[in-house]
Amino acid sequence: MSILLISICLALIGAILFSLIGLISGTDETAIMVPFTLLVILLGAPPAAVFAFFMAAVLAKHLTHAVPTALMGIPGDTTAVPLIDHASALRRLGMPHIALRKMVSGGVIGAFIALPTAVLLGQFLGQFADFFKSASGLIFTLAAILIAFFSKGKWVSVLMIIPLAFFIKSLDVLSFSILDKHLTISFFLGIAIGPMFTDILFALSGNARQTIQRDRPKEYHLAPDNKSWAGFFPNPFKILTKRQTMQTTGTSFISSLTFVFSPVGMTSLMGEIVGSRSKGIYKKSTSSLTTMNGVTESTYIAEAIIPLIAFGIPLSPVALGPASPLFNAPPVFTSDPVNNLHNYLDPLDFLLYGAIGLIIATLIAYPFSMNYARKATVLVMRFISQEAIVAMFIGLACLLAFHEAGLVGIVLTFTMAAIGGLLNKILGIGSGVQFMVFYASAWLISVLFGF
Amino acid sequence: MVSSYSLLLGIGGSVLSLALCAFIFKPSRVLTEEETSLESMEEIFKDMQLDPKEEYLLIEEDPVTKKEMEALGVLDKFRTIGEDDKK
Repeated sequence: MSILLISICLALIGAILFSLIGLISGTDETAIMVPFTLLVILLGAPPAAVFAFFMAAVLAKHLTHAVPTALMGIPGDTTAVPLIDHASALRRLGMPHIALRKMVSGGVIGAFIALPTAVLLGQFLGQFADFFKSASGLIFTLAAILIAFFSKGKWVSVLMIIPLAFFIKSLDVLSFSILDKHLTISFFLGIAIGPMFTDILFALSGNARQTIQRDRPKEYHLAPDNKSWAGFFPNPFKILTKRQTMQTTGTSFISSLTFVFSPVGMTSLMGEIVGSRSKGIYKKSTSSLTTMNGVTESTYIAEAIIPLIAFGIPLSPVALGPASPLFNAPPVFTSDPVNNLHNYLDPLDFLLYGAIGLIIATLIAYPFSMNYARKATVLVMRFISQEAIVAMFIGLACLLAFHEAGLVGIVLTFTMAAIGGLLNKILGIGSGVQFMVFYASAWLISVLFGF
Repeated sequence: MVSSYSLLLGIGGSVLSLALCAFIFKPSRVLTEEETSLESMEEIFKDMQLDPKEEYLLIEEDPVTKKEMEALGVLDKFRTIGEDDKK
């Protein structure tokens, strides 16, 4: 099968799968993207097809996670948190369907602005790649300090960098002495599923159980959804006013350039700037939502693409989280030495296969969330329990860890998940910080202890 | 090839566990489908600390927003409450 055909097929699978996953609110982005992307890579898909799959998955998930955000007032995932206020205002005023349409249309525009912008910027920054690659250990450490300070935990995250690096290196040395190879995927999975796994640990602990116990089931209120347009595929430019299209285009372009900041931070910032320039609750909320979803999308895509094209080492919050397998998925991809999509694809390939992913995701997820949002939400909420989703992801983590290193891999994954998850949940040391420390650990320990 | 097939089989197993768990453990969330908004517009405006009259005036002054709201059939909500308030 030609690479193009495989890319289209994988993008289709990614778009359908993640359109459904997006409907499940509160699912952690990293915990979902990492196992599925790793699977596609380890199954031997060509690098171009892996990239198309990833792009389709990201856009599809973001388009459908607007559904719980708009219709139920609960964030689809962390990147949707800044949108909640405006979405809730429109929902209470009886206009959740308008919020949804605006968000989804803004997202599509943001994605298509981000792809070419990110490819161009990535190519430009590529001239500094040699410097970045040669100093990667130091850069990872500095980035870890920076990301740690801006994480929820602030100073405690900074303080925990060295102990965490020590812990990770110790696990690495132990597993190396058993298996005679360094493990990566097992560490990744542990960090990714950490928060999910910690909830299970809490439930088992006599001491901590009360923190997650509820006395009644969680209630969700699903708002009515009035379809008020004809046809199956509404034109995003007709759904937005000219001003909103311009605002989304401008802010998406700017946020594509700021690839080292967190998508959530950029989303809040841009949304506030646009919101403060619009008067009246209707205009303010619709304009902010459109812009915010566009910015989420563009920052996300740019943060994955720019470090890939320019350096081949993960140097942004998204590249350290959901997109990390594109950089590091041994034995197929490694980031030290750099042997990943950075080497296999040239900028034109990124543009072409990225566009394939985005177009397919738009063709599937956009009409889906425009036409069937409410029905699909009801089906998912009624028939798929949170337990089932957790079971599937824990299962996938076991599968991938076993594939890398047998039982040692599984034990290592859950050790990392328990420690990482507790640090994340209790102290607010986010998974981005932990990923960064993982990358920095080898250099840091060798500098500190000469090991 | 063996490793690819074993991975595929594993994915199948994970999906099976999703289906099985979804069957055994029914969702314990309560989903209420609201057909119409329960709160009256007035209460919502008050709760959100909005001035209905000012909101309606802002819409009247902005022809693009007004046209869009008219086409979507939501202008009446604002008009009714905005004009009520004027009286």
